[in-house]
Amino acid sequence: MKQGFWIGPLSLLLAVLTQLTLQPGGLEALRFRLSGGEPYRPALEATILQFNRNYATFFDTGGLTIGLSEFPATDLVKRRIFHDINIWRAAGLWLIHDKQALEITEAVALSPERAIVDTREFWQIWPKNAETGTKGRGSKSAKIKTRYFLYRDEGTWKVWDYIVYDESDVMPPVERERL
Amino acid sequence: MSRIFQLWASNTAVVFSGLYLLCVLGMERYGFLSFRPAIFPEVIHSKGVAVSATVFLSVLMVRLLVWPSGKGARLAHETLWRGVSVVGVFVVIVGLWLGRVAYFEGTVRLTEGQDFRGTEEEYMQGSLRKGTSASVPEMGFLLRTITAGFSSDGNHLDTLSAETQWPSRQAEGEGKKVKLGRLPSLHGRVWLHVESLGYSPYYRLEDEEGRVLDEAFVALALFPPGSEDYFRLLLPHTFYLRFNPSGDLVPEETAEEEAASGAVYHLRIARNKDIVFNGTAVPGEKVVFENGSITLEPPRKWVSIRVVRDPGLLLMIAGLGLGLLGFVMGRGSTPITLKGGEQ
Repeated sequence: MKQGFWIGPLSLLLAVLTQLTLQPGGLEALRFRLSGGEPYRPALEATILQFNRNYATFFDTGGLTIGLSEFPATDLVKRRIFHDINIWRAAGLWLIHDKQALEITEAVALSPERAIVDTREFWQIWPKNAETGTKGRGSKSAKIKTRYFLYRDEGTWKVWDYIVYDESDVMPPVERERL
Repeated sequence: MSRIFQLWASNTAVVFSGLYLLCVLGMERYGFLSFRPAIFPEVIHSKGVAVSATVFLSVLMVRLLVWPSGKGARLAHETLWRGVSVVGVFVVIVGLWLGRVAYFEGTVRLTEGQDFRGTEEEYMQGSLRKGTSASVPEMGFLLRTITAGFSSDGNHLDTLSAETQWPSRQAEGEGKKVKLGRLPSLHGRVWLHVESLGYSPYYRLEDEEGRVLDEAFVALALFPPGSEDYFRLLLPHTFYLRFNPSGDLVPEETAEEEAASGAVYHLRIARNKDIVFNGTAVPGEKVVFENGSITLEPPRKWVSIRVVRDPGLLLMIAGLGLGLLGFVMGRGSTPITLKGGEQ
């Protein structure tokens, strides 16, 4: 039975090693578990700042695609944004987005591949005549809260969706099972 | 050769393969490092579990076969029941692999009055789990009505059932009526049960001249009251919706009746980062935004229905029963003799 005593611990060790080596992202998962996800925060914040810089630039230039490859968003998000820009442009207008403030209130990595970032944002939005450059009617101040959903694709965080709330809305708790 | 066989049939082999199976099960089910733990069918039909369980059960079979026996009538008795156990274990192995090959599972979300034709496209994205050679079950029905019972605060489901008609394309009163509940029930070779509930508002999108651009039911996760979900159409807008029903929702209820009951939608329309509408609307009320309008009619209920076909499950249960029966009956009359003659 002495020989049998080692069978249990050996089986457990084998299971752990199998998990770490064969499961995709096993070592990354271990690092995440040990760190609690905090080391991911700077990258998440940088991604959101980059996203909003590009977002404003696309609108402000009537859809110039310079910077599109660095834009940290999925194709669906890009398509939605450019769909809107093209509608404005077809009407001879550019919708200027002048960022007044952007505060990141929460940045949480749920796993090495999924994250959520909440922000408070303040934008001045107005239509500009594409020909004359004059300010059109319909200027508004948008004080919003935004919840960004991100996933990591080959080491790069990308926004795959975002929900926009009014400043007065209460953001619901994150429903992890729906992510 | 006999030495190897003895080693294989020893207690060590049983303990090792059993523990390894438990480790594999634990790893895949709970995944102590995994962020998306596998659900039970995924675990039981995974290659790791199938292989390790086969090894474990094979060792067990061999172990049953080589147990030392008694003499005469006892030998015959033991041999008979041990044989039953071995057959049982073998049937479990067959069931396990049959499930791995032919297992099918999918979830479909259906609104009252909606047809289900059983095509693969109708199943919710990401809900399909198919064995290596599994096909989509051939079936079709009409979801007639959904009956839901709520807790006193209206936030929890007490009861949920759906009345269906098989096949779907039958005149009123014809076809077979089948009630689906929260417990799985067998229909043909398929297990069905209802899971979650939600509401499907009927939207009508119109341009500023009143021409209808689009209209349809949209199934949204709006239960319990206060839950927010959203949908997008061909516009760059996103429609965020919450729904607060008051009292029971009846599909035939008119917009006026629904409005009188106090039901209300909370609607927020955002065009990227620009919120163009944020307010409430009673069912049937036209909400004007930018160059168009949207009308949300009284919603119908939807349920998600889980469809499972597991031809190996009954075999595994039968095999397990057979194995246990043989073990208990054989053990009842015979002392278990270990190697070296210990008792």
